[in-house]
Amino acid sequence: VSPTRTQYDDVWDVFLPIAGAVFAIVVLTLLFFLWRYRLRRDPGRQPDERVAGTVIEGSYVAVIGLITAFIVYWTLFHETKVDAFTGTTQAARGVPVVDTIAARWTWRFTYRGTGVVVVSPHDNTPTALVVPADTPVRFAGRSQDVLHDFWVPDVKFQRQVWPDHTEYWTLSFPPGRHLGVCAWFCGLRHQNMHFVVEAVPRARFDAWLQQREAAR
Amino acid sequence: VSAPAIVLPSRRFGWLELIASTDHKRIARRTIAASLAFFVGGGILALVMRTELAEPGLQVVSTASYNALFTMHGSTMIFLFMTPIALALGLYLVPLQVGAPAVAAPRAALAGFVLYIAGGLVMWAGFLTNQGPGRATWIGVDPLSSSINTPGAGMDLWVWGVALVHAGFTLTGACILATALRKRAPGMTLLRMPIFTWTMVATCLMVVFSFPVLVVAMGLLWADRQWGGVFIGNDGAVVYQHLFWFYGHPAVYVMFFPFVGAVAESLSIFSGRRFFGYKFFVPSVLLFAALSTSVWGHHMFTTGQVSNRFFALTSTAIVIPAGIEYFDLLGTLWKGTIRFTTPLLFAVGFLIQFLVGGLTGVMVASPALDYHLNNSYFIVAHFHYTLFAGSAFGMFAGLYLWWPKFTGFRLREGLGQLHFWLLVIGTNMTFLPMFFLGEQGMTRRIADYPRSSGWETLNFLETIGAYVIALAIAVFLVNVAISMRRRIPAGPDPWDGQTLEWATSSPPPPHNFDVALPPIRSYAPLFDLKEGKA
Repeated sequence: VSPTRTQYDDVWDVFLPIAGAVFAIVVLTLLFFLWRYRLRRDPGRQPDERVAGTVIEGSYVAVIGLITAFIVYWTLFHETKVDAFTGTTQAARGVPVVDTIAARWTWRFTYRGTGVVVVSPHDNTPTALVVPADTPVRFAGRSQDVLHDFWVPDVKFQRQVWPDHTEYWTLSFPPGRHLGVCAWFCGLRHQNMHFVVEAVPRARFDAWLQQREAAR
Repeated sequence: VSAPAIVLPSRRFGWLELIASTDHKRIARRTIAASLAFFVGGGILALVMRTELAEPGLQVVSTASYNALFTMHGSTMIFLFMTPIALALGLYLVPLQVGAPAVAAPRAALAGFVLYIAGGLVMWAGFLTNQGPGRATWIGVDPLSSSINTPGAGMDLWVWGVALVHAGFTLTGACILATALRKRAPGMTLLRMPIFTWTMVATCLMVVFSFPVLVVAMGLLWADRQWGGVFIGNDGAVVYQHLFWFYGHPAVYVMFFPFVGAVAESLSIFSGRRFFGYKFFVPSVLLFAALSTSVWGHHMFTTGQVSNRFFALTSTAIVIPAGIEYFDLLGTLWKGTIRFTTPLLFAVGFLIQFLVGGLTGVMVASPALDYHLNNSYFIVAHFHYTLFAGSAFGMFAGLYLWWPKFTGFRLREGLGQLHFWLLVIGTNMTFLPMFFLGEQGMTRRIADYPRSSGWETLNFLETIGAYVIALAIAVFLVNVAISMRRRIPAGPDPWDGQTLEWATSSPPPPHNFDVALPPIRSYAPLFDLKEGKA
């Protein structure tokens, strides 16, 4: 499970139907008016002279206000949850911290406290980041040159990194391979600045990390 | 029956008049012509980009060229096309709509035009430099735009171009604002100003409030490129984004309100009735403008450095004034006598398509969604639905509506309707698939995408759509050319207009009104006259 993805879906699943309903109501009303009140239908007719409907428009504003209040509530409720999870500062025991360095046009990950570093083996091969699946992983992101943006579309989350600043965020990945990209334009080979998150069972991750540590 | 004598406008053309006329109508017409030229230029850049993206791999341009292309496409469309043409509509029409003989501070308005042309040429001169023009995105974000990461004179020219045009727009905006506030004819109280004039008042309030910030930001960026040390430290990149978006979000509505005004005027004229809900609409536009100055942080949700809750709240609150505007625009059609002219079609296209941009805007105003959708093609789709499918359709409604007033000749209805339907098809073919690509994880500003991504079909469809848009614009240009070669004189009031610009000749004389103004007893004085209520 990925809490960022869950929160995203919870908001999306509510906002999309609301948007669809509003779109349908407005467009159907518009098309009905265009058909019903077209001059060609009865050329002799005079247009209505009413130029305001204070009561009906006032009520409409109240309804819009209520819908907006609900949208704001739904937004803030889920934003609070996402930020609470991604902002988890004190990692529980055994939560790996990954020092993430973005530099044009590659990613470099260091497992804090172990000295294990993963880099891109050569151009156009994404850096492979191995993490334990379904548990929090903490990132400490920096950039060496320009603004970059760590984005893993599968977990619906991105965060910008830039020079002289460390930005922290926590994510949890479902088992499997997830493509990561640099979402902020960073120059010539921006479109190739990829990485891959391999989320594996905890035991396999621990074994992998120990093996890499021993190999140093 | 003999046709009434028609005096065609003089074709005399003096160079001094071209560069030094302080007639707001001449300045505005030249601005419209220049912005349409930049529109075609920016559109050609987009066509090259879409051609490159038609299939995976690099076939047409290098990544370096692609980066220059999308930077200059965005910069041209926003800085040199949408903003100036939005202001030019106001510069032409606000003095006429409030019954003034001239714009306030006409020499400042002329200076605004000169700065706009100079800045546009400076920015495009970057194409002549060795390392190419600006290529650090239309927001020119530091540190990418620093002299280390983007060296070369082309980028400096971009910085200067942006600074010059926005200094110019600030002057133009101030002139229009002062005209509406201080030069109204007797009887033209604030609450009798036409809807379009009100949208321009809100627009120009945002211009004078936010555009100077961009001029200053460009000055700082230039200093940073010269000597370094400006956007540094642990928040340097964030400070630049704050400065840019403090300008950038009001600017989005600067490119929107004037066209809402054009749509409102089109709807009331072609519905044959007065605008509905004036006393809700006017405060809603002002509320909209006020909110626009406190939403910029939603561009920075993914920095983790702004109060996401505050900016989510203010951004979502925009729904309320926007909802009021939609109610009034639809209400104006209610029980009207609707004539299906080209401006009406474009106004209807605006209403439907802008709604897609607006509703997806509510989505990206929600941080939990924006954490994923930001910087993806979803955002590209969202802002093209607002700015192109929305604002540009509103702009064409305005151009078709007021073209007879600007030039004295009519555009052809048949070609106008062909233009409209082609543009509807092209626009939705190009931009609708982008929502799906972005949601699937396609990043914006990339010259290439992996073959394994499965994005080829939709991208190919978008590319075809882009060429349909180009065809639609070509039809528009043909329409303009035909209207100039085979002139059909428009007369002062070809559409049965309601506001004062239709009370004078087309085009109006240098001092705007040869005839006495009709009495002004409402926001639709000509309608009063025709109804016998004046």
